[in-house]
Amino acid sequence: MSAHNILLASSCVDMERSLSEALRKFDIDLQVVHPDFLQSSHCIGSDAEESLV
Amino acid sequence: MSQQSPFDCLLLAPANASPSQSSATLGEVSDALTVNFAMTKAAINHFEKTSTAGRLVSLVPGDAAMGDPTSLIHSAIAGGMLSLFRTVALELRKTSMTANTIMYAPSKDPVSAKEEMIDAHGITVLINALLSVDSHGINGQEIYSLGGADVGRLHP
Repeated sequence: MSAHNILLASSCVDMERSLSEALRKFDIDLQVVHPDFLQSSHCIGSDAEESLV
Repeated sequence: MSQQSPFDCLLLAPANASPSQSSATLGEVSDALTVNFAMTKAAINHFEKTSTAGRLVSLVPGDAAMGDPTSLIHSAIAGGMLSLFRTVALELRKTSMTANTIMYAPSKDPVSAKEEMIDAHGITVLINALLSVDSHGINGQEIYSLGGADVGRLHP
């Protein structure tokens, strides 16, 4: 069991990826929640944007 | 949020609007801030119910926080998040919970056009420090981690 559990609210997969990779070095679990509003935001160059199409 | 596994930190990272996105509207700014407010409120309720010394961390791109005239929508969201967390931190000052903002330097690679941080490791070091039990006194801080790019500049 990890020392900490972070709930990340973002649908930006690039941000999620870089954070999860960096947090791996610490004893931290990362869960991701994708608020609906973020799906309509413009997360440039990401899978999130492609998923809107 | 109630369906999530127990957590002790809510990390808010609103998606960045591209400066070239002319379709972004004030309605989207309102939506972004409303959802972040709702999630912050839900997280505080969760921390209270589970007696958790929870941590609220907002990740904001530093250029937007300083006010970028080429990206008004982006800057408006950043400004809104700064104001929200200043207020929340005041509300939490007599609790074991904390609310802090970390400003990061976004990647400027026009080729990949990815929304990444230049120094993700440095940001996670800061997050890890804020998660420490001993950091309960660190509340309402706005931490600039821009690789020194903001040194000597006025902050918003």
